[in-house]
Amino acid sequence: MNTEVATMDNLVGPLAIINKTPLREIRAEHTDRVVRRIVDKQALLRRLDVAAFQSAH
Amino acid sequence: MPGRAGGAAGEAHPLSQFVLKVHGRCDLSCDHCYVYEHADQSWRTKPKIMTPAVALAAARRIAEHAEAWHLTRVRVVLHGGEPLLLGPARMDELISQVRAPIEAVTRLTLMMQTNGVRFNPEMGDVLKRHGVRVGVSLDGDRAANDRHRRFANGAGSYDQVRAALALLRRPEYRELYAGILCTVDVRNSPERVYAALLAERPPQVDFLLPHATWDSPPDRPDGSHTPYADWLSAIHRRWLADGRPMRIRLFDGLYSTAQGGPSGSEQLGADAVDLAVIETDGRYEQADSVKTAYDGAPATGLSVLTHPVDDVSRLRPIAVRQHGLRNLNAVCQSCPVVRQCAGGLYAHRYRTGHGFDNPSVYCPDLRVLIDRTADERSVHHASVKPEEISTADVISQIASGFGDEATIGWLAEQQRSVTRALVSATIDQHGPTSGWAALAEVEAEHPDAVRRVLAHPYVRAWAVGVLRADDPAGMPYLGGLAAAAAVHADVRLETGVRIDRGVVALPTVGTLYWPEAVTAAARITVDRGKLWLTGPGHRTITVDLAQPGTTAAWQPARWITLDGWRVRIEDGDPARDCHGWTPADRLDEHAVGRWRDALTEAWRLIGAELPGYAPALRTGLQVIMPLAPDPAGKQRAATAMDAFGALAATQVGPAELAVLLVHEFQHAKLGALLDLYDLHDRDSDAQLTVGWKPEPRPVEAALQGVYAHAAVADVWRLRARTDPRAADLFAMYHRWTTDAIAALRGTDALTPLGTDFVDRLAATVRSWKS
Ligand code: SF4
Repeated sequence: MNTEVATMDNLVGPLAIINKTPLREIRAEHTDRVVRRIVDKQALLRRLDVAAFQSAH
Repeated sequence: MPGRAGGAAGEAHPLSQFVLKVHGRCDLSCDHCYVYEHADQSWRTKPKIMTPAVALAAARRIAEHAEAWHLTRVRVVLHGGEPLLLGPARMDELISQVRAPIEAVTRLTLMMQTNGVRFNPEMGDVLKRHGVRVGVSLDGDRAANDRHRRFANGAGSYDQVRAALALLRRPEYRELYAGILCTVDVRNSPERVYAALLAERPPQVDFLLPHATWDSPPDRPDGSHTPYADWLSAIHRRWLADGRPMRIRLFDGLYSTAQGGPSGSEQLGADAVDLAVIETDGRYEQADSVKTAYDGAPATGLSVLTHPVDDVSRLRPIAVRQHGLRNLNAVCQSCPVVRQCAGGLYAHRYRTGHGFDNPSVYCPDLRVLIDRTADERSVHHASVKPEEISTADVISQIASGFGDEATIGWLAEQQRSVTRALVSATIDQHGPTSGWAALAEVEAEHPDAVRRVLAHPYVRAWAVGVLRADDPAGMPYLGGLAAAAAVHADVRLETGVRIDRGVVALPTVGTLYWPEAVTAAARITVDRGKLWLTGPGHRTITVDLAQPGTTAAWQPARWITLDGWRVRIEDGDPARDCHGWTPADRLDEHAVGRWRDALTEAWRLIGAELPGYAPALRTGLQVIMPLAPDPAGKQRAATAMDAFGALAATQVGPAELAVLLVHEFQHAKLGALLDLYDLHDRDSDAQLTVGWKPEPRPVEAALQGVYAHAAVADVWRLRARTDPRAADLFAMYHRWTTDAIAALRGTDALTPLGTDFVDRLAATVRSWKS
């Protein structure tokens, strides 16, 4: 059983592989981690999509 | 003896995790299963299923406990036996019973651990409706899995489990997929097991050491001293070389504990284990893994029907495990890796006559694994160092408030990789398109042309849109990217595109405008400096790129050059509509001229007044996206986290624009950093009171606000001599920033990295006070 505390995620390793792989050869296994962190709802529950500013007048 | 649940061992503790045995039997008979195959045989006397009445009683106990202890979150794991044996209708009813009382008082996270054999769309829909995330057990490739995970008739379960995983990967269920639980058998090839697990594309893998105690030690074939460490290290090296494509809890935990963080697992590290198990009949038990120890080991003699959770938390074996290192045996206490290992899994310490007061029976493996993992990690880092900037450098650069060109350039590079990953994921989700084939073809010969186009900030926004909406209608956008790349590379290309409300974007090259604002399929051809767009009614628009200037049908990209760098005005790409406010329509030359004048003067002001912010802007800002004016004439500006390098704003004067550029780009920098690293617990419910908004803000919004307002405080500090409003404005922004930093430090929502970031930022801000 796992404890509730999550250890920190970090995308740097997966991105380094994607950066040097031609588009056609990028494998879904390698993009999954990026998709989960950037796109999936689970991760986005509390993410800020847009920082918006509007002046008072 | 550890005591059959022992007596009361002191004060009650809050427990936040509960394993519900919703079904007491299993459709597999795995020979390594701790429920049926180990010392404790109590399952034989327990009811087969948990009734809704017991589930409700359990939920009420959990709710009453959560309320009394003010728990902000409770996790319930639906477990068995095999929980899916309950079937969709019963499962639906049971989960409804569980949710209602708990959700009335706290936040509930629901998980399920299953063998997957019976997972089907009907069950998937039930679990999705209730937000249950699913972990599936799979031991590797067919040979590895079917070595143990077999039906009673001896047939293997590999095909059924893989079918379940395939279903979990489908877009409609992807959010349910929590990961794979793999029990280690050192007779299996670690390389093959790793490859098989990776092929299932799990968000996370948990490796479980087989259950063993000092009375029945683990299998160590071939006389090897540390076969489990050797096996796991082989996987660790492959995983590192692969760029850590999935999370592996064991290794992530070791990395984390090496830096003093949590381990995230009961197997390693001294995280408090605040867990109780509730059996099908409502009896409380301890963690299942304790079953390996001796018959009846996990029993507590208490039940949800008669006892509150507090009574369970007082029992000695549960209470002892609340205290991590303090209650460990003397050998572990003096071990050099005790902070990372903490005696391993509790159950693995058992020895008749000594109870659990021993090191783990896996001690030699754990010791070697911990040291070796650290070594392998540093060797790996040393070998890739030239391409990487260290996390500490990035954090300290960004937290200083500015960020030098190398750091921002590196962040921008990471963003481009994110875009590549997401574009490629759209193909995985929706299938290849002609635009994709064309883009990949251009890339094969002219990779720089494709890089230039994929650096367009709105490519990511587009990709996120089609991935999230799960709608392939937007896929022909890729044709526009391919056409733009073909223009840069000066190669011939023909591919499908979509006219989107009258527009076809060729990012970084220009925008085609169809005579009517229709949405329709079209074809584009690029050849020797010319474009042809053929759309509805077989009409064709022809553009000669060699001809300068604008026509009704063609708007070449417009750049504003600012001493040695340039930004583009983006007023065409439909994907730009991601900033929360309506974009301005196509700009005429006068409007662009006004932007040019304002930006040129704003850039001069930044150079003169705020030079510390200039390198980051010059390196990272690519696009200004004009917004439609606010009806009341207010200034508007926005940064979209899915469009690094783009800034959206209404037209303003140069002095205001200079502040907006600095302010908004702070959001972009921090957003890019948060894409990569966890500065805060993404699951935190904390809400912070901040000066700049009347309503409390979640952690990420507060962090973003602090970072941007710190820069605005800096702007007014630096304008102290030139602007009479500066002193008051500086004081206000400075107060907002310092108060919010204190509030952030007061939550437990920051990770160690986040704490470091905030502390560095606080130091920067403090230095301005004088
Ligand atoms: S490596 Fe052995 S002695 Fe050290 S903490 Fe782990 S189990 Fe205890």
